[in-house]
Amino acid sequence: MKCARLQPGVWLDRWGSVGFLAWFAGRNLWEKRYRRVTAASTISLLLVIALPLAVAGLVGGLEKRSHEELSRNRLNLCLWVRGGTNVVLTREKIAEVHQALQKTLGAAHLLGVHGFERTGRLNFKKKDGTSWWPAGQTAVWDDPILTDTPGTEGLRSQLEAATEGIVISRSALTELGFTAEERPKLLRVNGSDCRVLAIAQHDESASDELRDRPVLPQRLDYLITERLFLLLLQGNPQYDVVRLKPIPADWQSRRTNLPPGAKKLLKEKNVEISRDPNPDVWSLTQSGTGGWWHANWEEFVDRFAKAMAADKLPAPTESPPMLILPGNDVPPSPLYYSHMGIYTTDLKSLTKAATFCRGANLLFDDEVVRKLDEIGARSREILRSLWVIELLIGAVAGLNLGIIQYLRHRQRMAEIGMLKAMGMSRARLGWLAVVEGGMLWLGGTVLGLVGGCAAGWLIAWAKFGAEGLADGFRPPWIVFICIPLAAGVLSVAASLWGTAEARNTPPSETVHR
Amino acid sequence: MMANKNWIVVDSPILSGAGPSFLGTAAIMLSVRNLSFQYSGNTRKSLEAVTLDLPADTITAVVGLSGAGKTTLLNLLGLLWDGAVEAEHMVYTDASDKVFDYLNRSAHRWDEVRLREFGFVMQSAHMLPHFTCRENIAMPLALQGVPYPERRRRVARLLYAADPSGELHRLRDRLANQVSGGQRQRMAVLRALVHNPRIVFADEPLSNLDPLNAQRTLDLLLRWKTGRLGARYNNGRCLVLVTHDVSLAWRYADRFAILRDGRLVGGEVALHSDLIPGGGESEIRRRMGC
Repeated sequence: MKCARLQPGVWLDRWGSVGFLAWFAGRNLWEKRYRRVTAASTISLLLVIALPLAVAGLVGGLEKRSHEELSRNRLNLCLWVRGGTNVVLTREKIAEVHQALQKTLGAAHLLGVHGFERTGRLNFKKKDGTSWWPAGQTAVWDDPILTDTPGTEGLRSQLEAATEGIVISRSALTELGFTAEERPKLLRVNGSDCRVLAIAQHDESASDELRDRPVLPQRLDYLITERLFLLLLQGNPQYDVVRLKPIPADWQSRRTNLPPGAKKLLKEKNVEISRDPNPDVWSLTQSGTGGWWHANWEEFVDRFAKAMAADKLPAPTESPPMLILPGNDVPPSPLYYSHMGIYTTDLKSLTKAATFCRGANLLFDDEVVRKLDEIGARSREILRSLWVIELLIGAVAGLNLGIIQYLRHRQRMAEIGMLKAMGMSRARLGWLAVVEGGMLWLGGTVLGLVGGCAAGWLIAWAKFGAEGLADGFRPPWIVFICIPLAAGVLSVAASLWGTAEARNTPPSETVHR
Repeated sequence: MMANKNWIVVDSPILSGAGPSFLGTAAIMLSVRNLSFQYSGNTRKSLEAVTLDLPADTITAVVGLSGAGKTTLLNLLGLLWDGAVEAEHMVYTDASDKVFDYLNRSAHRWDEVRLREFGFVMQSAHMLPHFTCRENIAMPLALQGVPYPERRRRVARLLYAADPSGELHRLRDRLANQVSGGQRQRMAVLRALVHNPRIVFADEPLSNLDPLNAQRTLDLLLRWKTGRLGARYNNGRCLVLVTHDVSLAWRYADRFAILRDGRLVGGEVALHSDLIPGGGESEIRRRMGC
């Protein structure tokens, strides 16, 4: 109903109304007789917000310790498979892989000496054109090592001695059913006859071969991709600082499979790059000599390392350490590695190899992994406890606020009745409750954020030390945003609940008291 | 006392002789026919078949013994009751002749009607203790959205008009609980008048006060009614005074709603002329059942 006299109502001056409500609510909250309960309400909200921040500091400290553990085992390579971190390799492991590669290349050289020719990828055939395998059948490079071929007994033993390790992608392991507890151990085994080091880009035939080889647990789990090889090629584990040169984003589109730097160096060496019909395969031929590049492998590695050292490469933090292939979305946190390689593969092809690895009981204990597991378990336990405690504190705070608002308004029932008699509407009283709840929330949030951050920082500092505390710090946004928002809803809801009786009681029942 | 003399001379319908004849032509602000009301849980009706009109420019005294239904009637007339009422007819007509039907509760913003048209003075002042006297007085204006400077100006003007000696004005910045009971009640009256309402409902406004403060408080109400309190006087005013003080009612009221067991004695509001033959005050007491 519109009435000329009533039309210029309260809500015409909306900002005035908002200002009035804020003024009124502030005066109500800060009234002398209610200051203590206002402070109590604010403190309860403060606790709701400060507690998770303080615990976040503790968890952040634990993560820092975890980071330190990992730093002690300098992580130089992180393989990234289809959106997931699959394996991390410590410097030692990198060195092992590198050595294994050199041995492998040596093995390949041996194959060459013995009349085999590298035809692409890591397949070989005899230079005289006769294949080591049945006609028309291709096999990955490790097959010759394992195949009992007449006339190659000596070669086989040499090759077996030269090979070691498989690293299987972490996500692949997940897909293949390895548990979270098994994964890191599987990936970090050492000191065994069967070392798990590199990732296999594998096809079905090779998997079949692996499955059928009883010699594997003792000797050979070694399959590695060309691309990983290239990445390893750039790092020289003999140096303290092992860096990857930044990889341009269009590296893939160039379709060279060679990282920057390598190409230049190869050119210096008059090495031509030729491409196999398979785009993932490349081969190197030294001009004029017709020899394979691996004939000069040591020299090549040496020159390449020196060239990299002279390049004044940017610090790891400045260089994009990874290349994300199409389909990969979120890279893993750079907290745990200094360099990253990229590797894609068909996970299905790994099934049988992974089954084999699992069957071979490759779950060896590893101190670092165990520590990280302990830290992770502790963090998870703390976080679980945190949410339970947070829920309890939130419930208590909400109840406390509601009861305080209820009692406060109950005591002021006559005044509220008079306000209603004067024309304060029920809706406006509701908004007043919302503003009061909002003010309590604002006070609690500001104090909670400041106090919680300080407490969290102090806890982390006291327990884990100041050094590097801010390194890799990521603000706990869920705590900064979601919990204050939830506290705001809680505060307003509790305030509305607490004032419901006062709002709904007709003034006639109170003003005559 | 100058103020006292003023209202005795001007406001008493007996002395001015204008009462009954004037009332016959006054505009009816609030009209009620056969109003009945029963509190839930009560076996007896608190009000039964009450019929009355509140003409403009009158003082209507609602008198009766305790439990007669005085306060209930005031609550219903003043829109302080949220529940349903039973009546044949119950309407308020504002200055622009817009009619508000009490029986159609959903048709109007009743809080707006209370905010702009009505004022209330209760037995207790019910001042907000954490606000200053000036803020308390200005509260209806604040609720109406009147800007702060305007509120301040109007309250200052009202304080001076109410008390030219400046006593109330000097108390304006004190908290409401820092002034005496009499001063507080006068502030409460000013709060009821500051927005220039058309009807003021006063429920035993003087019963807690000493004679001097009672006189001062009543003086404010009477001066408001006759437009001598600074505010414009262009819309007709009505004071509904609920009291058990028969002498007070007889001296100042034009019309008498004498309640007995929830019913209007005689079935209608009595005028002075109706009561004089019976002895005035003694007739009221007789009708009340004293």
